[in-house]
Amino acid sequence: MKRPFLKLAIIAISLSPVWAADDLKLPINLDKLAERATESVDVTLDQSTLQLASGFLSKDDPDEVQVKKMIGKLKGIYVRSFEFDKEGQYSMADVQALRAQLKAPNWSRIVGVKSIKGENTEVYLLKNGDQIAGIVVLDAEPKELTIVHVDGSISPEELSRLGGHMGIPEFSKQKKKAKKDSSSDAKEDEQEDEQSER
Amino acid sequence: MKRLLGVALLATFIPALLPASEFDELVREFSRQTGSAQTHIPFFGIARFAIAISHPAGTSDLRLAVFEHPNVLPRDFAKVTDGIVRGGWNRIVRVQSRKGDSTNIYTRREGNHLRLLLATVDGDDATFIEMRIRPEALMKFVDEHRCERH
Repeated sequence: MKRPFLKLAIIAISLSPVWAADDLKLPINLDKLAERATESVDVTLDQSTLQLASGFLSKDDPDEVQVKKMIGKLKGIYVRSFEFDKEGQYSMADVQALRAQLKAPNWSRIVGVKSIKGENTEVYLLKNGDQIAGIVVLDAEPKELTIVHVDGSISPEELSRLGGHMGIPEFSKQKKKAKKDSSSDAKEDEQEDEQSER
Repeated sequence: MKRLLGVALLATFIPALLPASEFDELVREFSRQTGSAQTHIPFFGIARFAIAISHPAGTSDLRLAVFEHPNVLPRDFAKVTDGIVRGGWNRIVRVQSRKGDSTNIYTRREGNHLRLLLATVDGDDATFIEMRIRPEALMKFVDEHRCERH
């Protein structure tokens, strides 16, 4: 009589890390940060909203079909951003509850950038076999904190395909533009140097 | 000329004769909860009529309600709005500032159309805007008018 319950308990315990990995929760104290911030942004695009958006994409346009397919694999996109007027209005302890969830074996940190100005950026990936099942970006600057969570299967190539749709700039164009800007800046610098020599 | 005037008058007063919509109920509820009075916008019916005909950027309906000096603290505005926006609306964006500004965007599907509801407060005014849009046309409009420099 007890065996079915025992089996259920074992299944539940063995599945719980999987649920925990999928069910990433933003720490509650982030809401308190919003009270201290000069500006806070909360973007919540859950699965139903994403499905709703993808439902309006064309079935005939091959680009939109790709975007639709990509959105179909996402469970949600969440952005929380806080801007402060002074430094020290938040500490890394405030985001520690979130970082504590981004641990191996489910999560792996693929990017960690630290600067002496106090700007820290971390990118975490949730892996499901060979697939990426989620991305978290933590960007902590002295007066700004941004957390982005893309929940669901996605690859960087697929992300770049979003460019040019729904108001998102095309990445290739941005790169070309950045190169163009840097070359025109260099020309301007040369002209200024020539003028100062005269 | 008389015909044109007649159409304009009808466009102005027809909305007042129609039964209360969900948006009207939302506005009334906000007014009741905060004790604020809605500011009348003259000839807004004509603007609605023009939008209903021309569908700019895929918009086929536009509702607007403005409350000057609403009796609500900016930090409570989002809570009040969340409380009165019901019936399948999803909140997708919330921006709040310590100065007292708050912007909340809700969305809902309606057949081939999307309804967007914007609720904002900027310290002096609270504004509710509801739009019925065709997303393909809006996306095309956004992609075509996207600012090149970011």
